[in-house]
Amino acid sequence: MFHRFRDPLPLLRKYSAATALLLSLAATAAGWRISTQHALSDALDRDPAPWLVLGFGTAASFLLFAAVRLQAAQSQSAHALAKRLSASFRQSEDSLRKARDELQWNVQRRMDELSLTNQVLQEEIGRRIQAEVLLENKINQLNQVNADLNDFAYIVSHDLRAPLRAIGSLAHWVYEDNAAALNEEGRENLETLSGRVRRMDALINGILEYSRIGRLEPGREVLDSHKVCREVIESLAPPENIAVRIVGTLPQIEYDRTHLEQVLQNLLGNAIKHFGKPTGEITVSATESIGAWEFCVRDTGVGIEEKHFERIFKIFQTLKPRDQVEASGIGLTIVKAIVEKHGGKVRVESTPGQGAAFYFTAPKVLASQGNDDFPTFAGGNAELAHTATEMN
Amino acid sequence: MRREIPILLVEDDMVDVKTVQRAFKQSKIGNPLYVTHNGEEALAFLRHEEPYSDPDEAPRPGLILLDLNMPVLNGIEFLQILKEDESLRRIPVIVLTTSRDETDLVRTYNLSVAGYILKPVDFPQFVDVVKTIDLYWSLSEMVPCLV
Repeated sequence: MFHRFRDPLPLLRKYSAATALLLSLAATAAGWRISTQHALSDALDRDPAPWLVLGFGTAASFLLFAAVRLQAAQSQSAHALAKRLSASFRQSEDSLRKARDELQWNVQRRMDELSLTNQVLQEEIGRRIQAEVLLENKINQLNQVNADLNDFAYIVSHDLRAPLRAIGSLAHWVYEDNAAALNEEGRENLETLSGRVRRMDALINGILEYSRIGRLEPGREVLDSHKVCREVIESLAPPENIAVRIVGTLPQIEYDRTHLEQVLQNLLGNAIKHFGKPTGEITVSATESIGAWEFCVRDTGVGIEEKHFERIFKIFQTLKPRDQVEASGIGLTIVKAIVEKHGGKVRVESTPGQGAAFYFTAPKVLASQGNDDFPTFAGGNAELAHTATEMN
Repeated sequence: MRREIPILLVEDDMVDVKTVQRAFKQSKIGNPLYVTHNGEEALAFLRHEEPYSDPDEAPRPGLILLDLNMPVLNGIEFLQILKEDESLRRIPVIVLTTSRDETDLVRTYNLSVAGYILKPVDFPQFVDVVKTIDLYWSLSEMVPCLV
């Protein structure tokens, strides 16, 4: 709608030459008409106005003509500039659009890549969750199997004891009731039978104890291991030919009382039982290491060959026939199980002929627990403690 | 232990029953010993139900010796019922078992048993146990009105 009101300049520009001619012709005609009414000279002399008009007209025409041309030229260059500008504008617009499109495409591509990565990640997470669930199931299964095994060991050994006790009792009664009628061999056989019953009972007790270590959470209390060790030595009543003593002072440790007693009892008991020399000594000591105490039960007995080091910690393994030394072969297995249950380690050093040393580590008492702060019962014993107070 | 006080043994193993009987004889304990083979029979005995409906055949015991691992109604289940029964709860019960299980120990003491004794493998040791029980219940006063 706006283009109807066109700029008049372009029209003038277009017809500028013709306009100037027309204007000068008109001016000339006007001058001529004036001059024909009077004689030229007269007219010039008398009245110079027509000439002036003519002159001005011509001058004006030329000025107008020049102005229009100039305008035209200016307009033309402006137009060209505008054209150039618009062209470059279009060009930059194009390149901008191109850049924008490229950017968009790039973003899209990145988005696609990201969503792909995301998908892969999601799948990976899914797989990991699945693996975790699987692992958890496996752990549960393993725990179940372990618990079943412990229960199995417990039940079996428990049920084995009843008939064993019956055999023992019946053998004893046969012996008692027929002592006079039996000959030497009969009495000997019945005595051996009773001995075997006791041995089997010891084995079953060993399995029971071993399975109990796995079944129950150990209690933890701050113990004076020196005192416990002294009590254990006393209870073992070592023979006079073997001197048993504690070197230095044994530390306070955080342990299950029964467990510590059992470990010391088994190690000292073994040292006495397998001493194998007419005289000698057994020492108990402890050295401090990082985060733990290392206890050592050392004897000057016959020692153990290195090739047996691994075997002696395995269940029911003995190095001598049971008729020679009455041993269940479970003592060290229990020691190892207890020490490991409390986060420690066992090891053995020995020079055959000179003696053996059994080491085990026990955790130090945490700084927060002082001597006065004796938690007497914990963990598996809590219920027992509860019962004990109820009884009082 | 006063000689006339009857003792009830709740035990399913025949040899174990014999062990107690023999140990009583060796320790010269003359108290009448009655035997039931599981918790259900023992309850029937105490409540004079079939086949123990004759009170003369099933006198109220002054002491119960109880095994834990038994068929039908085991020792712990029997104890739970016994201690709920207003007329029977005062009869002292001594657990006589092979179970060294701490949970059994806790559960039975929670049910107010008078003692918990592990059956020894050796018979002579068992005789000692029985003698000790006899000595203890000679010193300890029993609830006189056992009805």
